[in-house]
Amino acid sequence: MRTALVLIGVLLVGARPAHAFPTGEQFDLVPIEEDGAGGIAFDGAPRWAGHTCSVCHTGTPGRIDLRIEADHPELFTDGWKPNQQYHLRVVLENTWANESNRAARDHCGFSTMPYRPCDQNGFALELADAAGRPTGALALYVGTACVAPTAMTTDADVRLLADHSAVTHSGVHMGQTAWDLCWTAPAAGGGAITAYVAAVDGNGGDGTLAFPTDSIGDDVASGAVPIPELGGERVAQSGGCSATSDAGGLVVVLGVLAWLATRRRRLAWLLAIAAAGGCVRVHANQRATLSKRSMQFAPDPTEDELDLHMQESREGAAGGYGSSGGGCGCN
Amino acid sequence: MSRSREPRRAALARCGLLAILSACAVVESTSAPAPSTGLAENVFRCSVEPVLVRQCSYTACHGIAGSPLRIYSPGKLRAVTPVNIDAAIAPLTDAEHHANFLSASGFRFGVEDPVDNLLVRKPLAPTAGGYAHEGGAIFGSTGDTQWIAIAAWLAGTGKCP
Repeated sequence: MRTALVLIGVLLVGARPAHAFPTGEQFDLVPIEEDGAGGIAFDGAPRWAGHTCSVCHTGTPGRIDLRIEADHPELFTDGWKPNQQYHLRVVLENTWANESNRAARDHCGFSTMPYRPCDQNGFALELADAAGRPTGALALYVGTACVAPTAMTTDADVRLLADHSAVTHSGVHMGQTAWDLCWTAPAAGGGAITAYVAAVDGNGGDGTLAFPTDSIGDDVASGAVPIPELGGERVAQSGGCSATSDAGGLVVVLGVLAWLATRRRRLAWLLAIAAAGGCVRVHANQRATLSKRSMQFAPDPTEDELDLHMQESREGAAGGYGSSGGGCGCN
Repeated sequence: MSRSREPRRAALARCGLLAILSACAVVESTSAPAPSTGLAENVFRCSVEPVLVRQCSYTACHGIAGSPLRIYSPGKLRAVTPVNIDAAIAPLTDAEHHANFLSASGFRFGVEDPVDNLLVRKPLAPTAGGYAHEGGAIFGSTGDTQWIAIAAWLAGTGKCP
């Protein structure tokens, strides 16, 4: 394992609107009795219906950024190498919530007088195959080496879920903006993999002893990083044609810029056609807003019929609505 | 002529009125049964409520007081505003358990087929017959054990282990 981390610029910008889980253990606790997550990692993976920290940490401004680094930078460019062990680092950038207490690190909380709220940040990450199943093997990174999670590693900043399918913050230390972990790639033939990650910039509850943690006043960031298999096909990013998260969208932007700059319409058209190839079918469950009643042209035909009837009775004229015909020549 | 017709017409009108009145019947006014009628609350608490709390109770989802499916859960929405973190994460009270039961039971109202209602259709993947759901497809198929637990409770066939 190389000690020097080489930064790989996989920047995940943009928060989406979870729950205050100050300790990693809470991810495994029973929800109905112990305020736990019941094994859900909230990292945005398909097996969790895409849910991230934002399902509880609401009203977040989305000012923080999230980045994944690897000791082998070619992981994100050339792809994952079978059975290769990678040292990964999840980094929170532009944190702001309770930033004034970040430097205090662990000198916060119940042990301080006067009370000082802790800068409680956290994250969750998993790597899944094309079918959405967690793949490879996750491990802790302690000191300068990857180690299997045991009782001797309770001081580690990260923690594996009980089934080892995802990794989260441990909550042992405060003021954390970076977490180290290890991931061993699966055997050859695993295909494209996606790293799903989400993080919270916590503000330490409402700043009082009564509520040292809650899901209000925090910030959240999340994203998905496609990683191809070394020597395999490049990964097509999911999510449609969004310019913020899709290569096709980037091509659109470049195309428009090219057209504006050089007036090369042919180039612009070619780029636009290439971008169209990045479009994907949007599933029914992703069209929830469009399927709302208020989005329909005629949400209630019966009500429309009644309105028309009253209008006709009142004005002594019909037509002028919907298809042509009738009325007094004004349509 | 005209004088003799008047009493006859009056008699005819009285007979007609009596005939109409005899056709009237008392319409019985009975209230509709509560949606929770026939649903087992003990089965809800042991097999359905844990699913709803784990999958649906988040504060951006169904952990909101105004949500049609409103779910109380530790650490999130509580029936009484907690005064501190201990109260917020305390186990659910009996009143909260019962309120969760009533909220979920409401989705059975007026439905003949117990598994054809929004409580089981919305979180189901569209490919498996589900409807659009802002929270995405929580259950991939009708073979999901959590989905089966909810459906069985609605159908009256659910049991506690």
